[in-house]
Amino acid sequence: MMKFNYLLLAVVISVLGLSTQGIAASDLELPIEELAKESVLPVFDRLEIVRARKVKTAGKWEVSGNFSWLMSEPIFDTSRVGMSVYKHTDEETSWGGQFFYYSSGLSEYSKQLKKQYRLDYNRAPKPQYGAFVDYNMKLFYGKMSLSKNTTMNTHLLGLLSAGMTQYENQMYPGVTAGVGYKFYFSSNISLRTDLRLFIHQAPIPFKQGAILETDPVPDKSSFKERIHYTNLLDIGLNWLF
Amino acid sequence: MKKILLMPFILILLMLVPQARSQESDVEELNLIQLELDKKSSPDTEDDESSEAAAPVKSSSHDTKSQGVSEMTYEELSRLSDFKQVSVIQRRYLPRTQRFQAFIGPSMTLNDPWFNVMGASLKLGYNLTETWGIEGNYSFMSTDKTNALKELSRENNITTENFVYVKNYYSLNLNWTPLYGKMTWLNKKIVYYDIYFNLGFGATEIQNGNKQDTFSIGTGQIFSISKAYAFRWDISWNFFDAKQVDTSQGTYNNVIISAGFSFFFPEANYR
Repeated sequence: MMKFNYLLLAVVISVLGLSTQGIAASDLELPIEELAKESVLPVFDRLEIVRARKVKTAGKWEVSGNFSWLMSEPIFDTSRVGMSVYKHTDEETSWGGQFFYYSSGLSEYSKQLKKQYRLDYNRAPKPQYGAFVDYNMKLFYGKMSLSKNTTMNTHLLGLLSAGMTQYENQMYPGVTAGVGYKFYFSSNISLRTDLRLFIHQAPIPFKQGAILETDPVPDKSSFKERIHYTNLLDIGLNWLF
Repeated sequence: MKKILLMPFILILLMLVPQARSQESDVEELNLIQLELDKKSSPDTEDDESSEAAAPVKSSSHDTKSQGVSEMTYEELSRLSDFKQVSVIQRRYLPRTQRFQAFIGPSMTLNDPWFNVMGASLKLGYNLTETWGIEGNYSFMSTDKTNALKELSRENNITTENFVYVKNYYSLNLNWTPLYGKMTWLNKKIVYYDIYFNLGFGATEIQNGNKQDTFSIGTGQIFSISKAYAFRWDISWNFFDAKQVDTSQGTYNNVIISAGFSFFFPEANYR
């Protein structure tokens, strides 16, 4: 009886000892040829790309001031300034209202045409201001390294907007589509650049018998209209709160 | 009788002990993982994205030294202890040093009010380092009069043959790539990118066949698709002198945007 108990105890101790040996090994020996030679993307059951955003926009408001360059405007001054207010409905979308005020001058081309051919496009109806509703789709959120210790967060946006532009004679509708890039200096201050195609109804400034300095001054509502396509570059500073 | 009672107890004990060890080991391992994650995130606690979990992480040997972690050779990596030493081989997702880059893509001039100028750009570059590279660019353009030019000619009786437009443009650029990063597409996928700036000098052939000296500045972004392919967009702002509408000599500027695909070769030399 006693003998059996000692035997049993010896077996138990041996098994316990063996079972722990594998766990106690702390060094792994791997053949060099089995080491990874290039980086690979691990696959996870539950892919969570962004665990905690530094820039949280959901539910917040954003105000911005911006300057626009109407890059392919032939006749009128190619700049305007604006103010915008956005409501971020979630981390992926935001809606905003934009108000623009157009510079009242003429483009460099118009000045040259006046100098060379005495064509005065001040006689044509000019844009004065505009109001648009803007929809932003925050397609990409990310960060980039500025130095070893500094990163900057970014948003790449898809943009759609619709609104009205007031000319000297009447108001005209327009839509825009484009892409925007936001660079965050902090979690609530960012610089934004938008590149848009502006498709809008507007008067044609080249009216026969109305633009030459010697022509009689035309009525601004007498100009025909058509759809114009203008490339726009916006640069703005934003505050998120 | 006692023996019969003792046997199940011993059996249960035998089964439980390794399990308990295993659980303890799991907990310990989870704690270690947490420690490692904490250690990794501690240098920039403000920083947020845990996307590192799903992607290769970047740092240089300089980073490793600065964080007080001893540097290891590749051979030493085969003798790692049990998760206390985690070796993450870190590099840019798309290495570029001593590799060529060939790019092709459609391009257009954004700021010409009189002509719709569209074409294609071909670029061939060589990266001396991850940051610096040189690149040759050739863009050929097709031109179509805009409604504004037709109306100006028809309604205001202006001869527009001397209006300047670009037929083609070539340059040699110095590329500087100081910024790299990553972004998530709708929180579903990680995309790696570089942002570069360039300075270039070349020539623009205009409508009358003259070739004008051209200075350019530009910027662009390269989104990695794999270690050999990338999507790239590029904006170049070109300046050249030519005769203006009022026949005086003046400086023209063209903003040319292009977007397309880049192919990197030869295959990256990883180690």
